[in-house]
Amino acid sequence: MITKKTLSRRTMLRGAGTAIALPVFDAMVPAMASTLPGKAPIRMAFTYVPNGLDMRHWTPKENGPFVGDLPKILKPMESMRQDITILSNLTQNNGRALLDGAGDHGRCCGAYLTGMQPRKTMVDIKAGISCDQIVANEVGKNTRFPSLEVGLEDARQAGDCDSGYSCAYTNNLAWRSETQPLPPVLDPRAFFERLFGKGAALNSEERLRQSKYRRSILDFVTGDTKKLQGELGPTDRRKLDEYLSSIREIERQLEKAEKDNAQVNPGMPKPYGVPADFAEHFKLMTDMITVAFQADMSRVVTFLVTREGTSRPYREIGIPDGHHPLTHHQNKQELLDKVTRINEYHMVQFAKWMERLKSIKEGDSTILGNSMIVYGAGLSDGNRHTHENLPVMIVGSAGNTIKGGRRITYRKETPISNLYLSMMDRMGVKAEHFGDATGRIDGLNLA
Amino acid sequence: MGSRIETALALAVLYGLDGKNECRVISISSSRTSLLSAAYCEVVGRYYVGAVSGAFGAFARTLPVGLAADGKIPGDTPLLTGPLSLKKPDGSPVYLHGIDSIIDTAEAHGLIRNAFTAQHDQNAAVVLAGPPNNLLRVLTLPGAKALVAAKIKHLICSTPEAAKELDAAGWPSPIISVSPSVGSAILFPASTLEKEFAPYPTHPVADAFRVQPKDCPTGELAAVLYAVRPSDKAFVLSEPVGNVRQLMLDPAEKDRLQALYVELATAKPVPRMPRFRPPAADAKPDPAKPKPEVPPTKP
Repeated sequence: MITKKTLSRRTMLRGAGTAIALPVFDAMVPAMASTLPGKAPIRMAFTYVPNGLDMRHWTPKENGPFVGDLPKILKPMESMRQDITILSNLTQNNGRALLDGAGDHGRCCGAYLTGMQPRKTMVDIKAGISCDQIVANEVGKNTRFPSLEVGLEDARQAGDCDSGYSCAYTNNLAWRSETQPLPPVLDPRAFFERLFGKGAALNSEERLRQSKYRRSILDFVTGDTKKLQGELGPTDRRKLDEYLSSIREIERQLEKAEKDNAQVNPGMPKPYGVPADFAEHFKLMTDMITVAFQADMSRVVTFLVTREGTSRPYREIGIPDGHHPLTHHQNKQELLDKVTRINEYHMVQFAKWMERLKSIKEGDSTILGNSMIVYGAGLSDGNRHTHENLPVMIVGSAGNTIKGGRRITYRKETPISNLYLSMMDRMGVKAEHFGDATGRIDGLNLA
Repeated sequence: MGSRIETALALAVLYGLDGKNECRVISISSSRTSLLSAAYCEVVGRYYVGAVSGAFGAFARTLPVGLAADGKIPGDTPLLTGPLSLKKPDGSPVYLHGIDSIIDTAEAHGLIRNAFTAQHDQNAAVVLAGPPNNLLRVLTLPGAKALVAAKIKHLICSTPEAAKELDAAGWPSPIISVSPSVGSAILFPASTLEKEFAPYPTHPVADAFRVQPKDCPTGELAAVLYAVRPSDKAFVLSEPVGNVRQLMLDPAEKDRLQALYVELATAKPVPRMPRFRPPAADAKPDPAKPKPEVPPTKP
């Protein structure tokens, strides 16, 4: 018998000071609609790495379908090679000097998603509304958070971060308006509470009570969980268990990070819950983005891995030198090798996240299959500060609309804003123009 | 590029003026949908190595060449195939270029727009030596008309038809249309092949000229010269009709201008040292590029 009775898409598990959104269950979809295409939401995310990449080890040799091994930096994505598309020759012209002199790092990040030339200033900052926010303004109406901004390093919003460019340019990807950047959340605890703990609405008494007894937020919703389990079929019950387990795992990682941080001196001011270990921090934040995607809390994410121009060292992989100075390697092999290793290290962390997204089933596909995650940088060659032929990778097929497993090379100087317009289309946002776009890119679609 | 030798000679005059530091070539595009047309523009650019400038000059790279992909003016011509098919005794091509497919060229209208964004206000001139299809597409880009109005001092068209079309499309900067009489009044002598061009073992413009070695009109050359030297006493402008003025010549200046065209078109390339930036990590020596001449150190 087919009924049209469904579980509300907005069902939440509630407890004292806690509300946990849920993933899409079969029970939330009317039986007759279960095979309709495009029912799963499409997500869009941008993962930004700083200081350009070692392009020798990024670009596949052949245009078209991948042949042979992937280049060194892309190697960690090998198991997902059919899910990735490398786009060559895309350019961010507004990251160039354009009469404003030095400051390529400041400009390239400020222009990256806005497609506009950032004003060279430390005071009255101005860039443009970023493409993720254009989408968030439309698509975000359907989710709890229109967009999520996440980062792992520095979120200073003032001061000079590059030759007269405000830190607001190097430390943000998302811009709500041309004068208002959206700073990334760095602290996993803050991000966790934003997602699950009603964020700012959590009063101090409740926060204290949760903290004092170190209880899991899952303990506060036990009653609701049991009730919901009774309403779900076996598949959905398993999905719920997996989902709640992943939240518990995030909590466990947070507790561990906080405990570890109490014992080590990181040598720099760091939020309480930020793990000292980069890979652990990366995993924790991306685990939470994954849960946010899973529960459809947000469909738009910007992830600034580290701030543009960062001089962060990577001692955990034996590189005590700062990232930015290394990228001015003057073609010395020893320094070039270190840059490549940092690029690989970032990619290893990213690949683990992508594997996680690919492992979560969603309808006939996976969360990754229903997403388009851009991985890239605002510079191609960090040594020469070049703004053409940027490293751009799309992971996921955006609901079976992007054909992966290949490299597409566009004509020289094709604006990266053209890609953003095509991505906006896939998010259901039909923008007439954006930034310095000259049109939409072609060739992404399935043949 | 490719229809008439005048266009190639005009490009040589432009690079000649660049070599004299009177201008900087910031962007080159072809209206002809022909890879060889783009390849020839790149070959000429490489020949005048060091005459590249702007964002690309900082890295001692050749300018990307914009190419119309609309197919309105298709086909390769002998002026293009002639020099580009020349071989050395070992069978390798005389002129190397990096344009093997459409992805080695740039979308012309975006490239031209981007070049404008990097200029000081009223400090750039546009020379159109052919049909206006690329410039008409520039005008369709959002914000392009305001950008042109701010940055471009004047547009010089080698034909009245193109000037009329661009004026009708709302090109916002002053338009100068080269009168047909200007081109026919002074001929560029084919005898330069045996005189001024003779010392060069290879020269892409001379090798194109050898395909049709006849004296040719100089309308395009006048367009380039006016763009860089608008106050030259040889030039006279008509009263504007709409946004367009006609460019005419003072007959008394004919001989001087002819000599000037020859001097500029046959000028020795002046390489410049790359500024600031090191070469790319994977850069290979370009055999088409002669090593820049380093001035001797003064004692």
